[in-house]
Amino acid sequence: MTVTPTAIDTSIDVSSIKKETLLQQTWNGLKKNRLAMVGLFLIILLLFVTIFADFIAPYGVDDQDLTRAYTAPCKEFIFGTDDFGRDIFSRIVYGSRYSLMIGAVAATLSAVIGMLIGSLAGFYGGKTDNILMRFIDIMLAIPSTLLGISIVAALGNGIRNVIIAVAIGAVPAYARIVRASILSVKEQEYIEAARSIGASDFRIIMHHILPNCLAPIIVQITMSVAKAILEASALSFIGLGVQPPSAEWGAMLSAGRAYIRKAWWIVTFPGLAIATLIFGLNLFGDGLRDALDPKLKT
Amino acid sequence: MDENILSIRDLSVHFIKDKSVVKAVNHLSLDLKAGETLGLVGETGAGKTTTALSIMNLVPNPPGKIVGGEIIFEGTDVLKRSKLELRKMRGREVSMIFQDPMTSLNPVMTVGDQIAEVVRLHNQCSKADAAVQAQKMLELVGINAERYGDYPHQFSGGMKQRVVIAIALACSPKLLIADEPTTALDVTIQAQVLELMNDLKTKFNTSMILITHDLGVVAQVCDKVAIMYAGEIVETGDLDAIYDNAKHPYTIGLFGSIPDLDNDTERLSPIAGLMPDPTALPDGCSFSPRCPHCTQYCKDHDPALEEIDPGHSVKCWLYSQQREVEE
Repeated sequence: MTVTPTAIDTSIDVSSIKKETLLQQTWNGLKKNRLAMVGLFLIILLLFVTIFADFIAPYGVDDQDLTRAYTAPCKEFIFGTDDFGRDIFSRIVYGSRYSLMIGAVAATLSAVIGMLIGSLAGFYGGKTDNILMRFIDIMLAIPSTLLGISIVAALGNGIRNVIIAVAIGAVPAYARIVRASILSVKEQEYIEAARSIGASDFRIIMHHILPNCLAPIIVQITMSVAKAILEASALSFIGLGVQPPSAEWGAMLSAGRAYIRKAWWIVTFPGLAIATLIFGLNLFGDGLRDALDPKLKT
Repeated sequence: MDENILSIRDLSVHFIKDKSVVKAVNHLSLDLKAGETLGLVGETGAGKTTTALSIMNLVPNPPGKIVGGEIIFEGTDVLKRSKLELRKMRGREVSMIFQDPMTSLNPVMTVGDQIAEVVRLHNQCSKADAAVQAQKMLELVGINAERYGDYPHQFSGGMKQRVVIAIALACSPKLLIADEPTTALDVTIQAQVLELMNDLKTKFNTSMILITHDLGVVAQVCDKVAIMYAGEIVETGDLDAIYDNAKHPYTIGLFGSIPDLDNDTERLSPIAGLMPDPTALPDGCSFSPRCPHCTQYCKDHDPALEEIDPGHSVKCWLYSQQREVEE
């Protein structure tokens, strides 16, 4: 069988070439950034811990044994034990599930709502912009922790309500960032060009404007995952969020703070866990921004 | 072929800014037949781009407003079409090449995708088919199809303009509006792009409106010329009529401002003065403040565009029949 050269030419699979390059370019950009790789490593590590918590944790979450209470970090309990003799390492391992879930769900929720509001306000301008942004301004006037507290107080305790409270508190930041980026992008000539080829408003926003605003939004998402985790921990800390004995990092901090002089490890390790996760998220977010920005590519 | 594909009647576009009204286009009329190329010439701010945007009904509103007139494209008024009809028209029947290729491509989309986007928007076809079509377009404008997955920043200015042309022609539109397509390019690339546009135009039998302030470009590409001044067409006609037999003082002034290879003149003779403030146009002829032949009559009465030879019209009292009748 003979294959003509033209037949080979037309059989080029365009979509595969294209996808490969896009992903690869981003990945190559990321690989060069060592800090971002550290961040990614930390995030993957914690994801791994979350998924395989059952295998990693040497003890159960609620294995109490008052005889071993306040054990300092040692071979057996590497992070020590708390006032009920529960292994802190195991509790942190299980607690990562709460933190990652709250962070991811709350950040996604607030990103979706915030981007929707910001896009509409920025793209249509005028009255739409005024009404939506004044609403956002009102939300901004209330400190986000206070807003979170009042929402949880109104809705009641529990992880779902914490997520809602944290997500609502993060919406204004998204809305403002998205709106500001859209305002600068929508005046570009390529948006007019997109209109001139007959693209709908929705298509222009989704395909031409938002991808060009991606850099600040991505940074905002990673920051807001971090912020959401912090805020959820704070709510748990003041006793409004996830309730003890659940192993939530903020709740653990709160429970251990009374013993900080006697047993420093009870508060220190959950705190370090929070700090590590947030550090990783922020490093990765910055790296991703640099890698995704086509203007920084060479 | 005698049918007008586009005819603009009495179009007026104003930009309303706080209290002042910028009269960008005033009672403009023009006709274009299938396959014809019209050069729209005028200095900066003469309303060329606004006219072009009006044809696609894309004048930014607010502050822009089309206050009067009609734009008949293929039998119906563009200004009366619904949003959906307009979307279907843009890109498929009328498409536009923008002035600056550096900014008219989306920086985060591959060039191939941007060409495929138009194809997908106007034809019911799969992503793969659109991609194949986009590759064909790339080859057509002289870019290797392998560069489908490249981003605009990996292209030079001339190549970007080729991509923009590929996007504009991907759906074989009936009318192509080129808004200063070569202004941002250097002269050698300019020649290549113009040649390419000429080739493709004949290939697709597309009508074209070429907006420019470069009379040399017009001579190279166009069949007809319309000279715009302060939102009005002051003289229009065939290439020969304008280049060899210019009548309007402004047109004559424009040619006087171009260096001539044959005559060894020391200085060019530019047109004195500036364009009138579009918020306060003169009562009479808008060119009267700068016109060397201006009379009191010109300052008080606005002339109409009148045909002086078949296919050659001038908007000036110097050549008007009406004035003699009135006086």
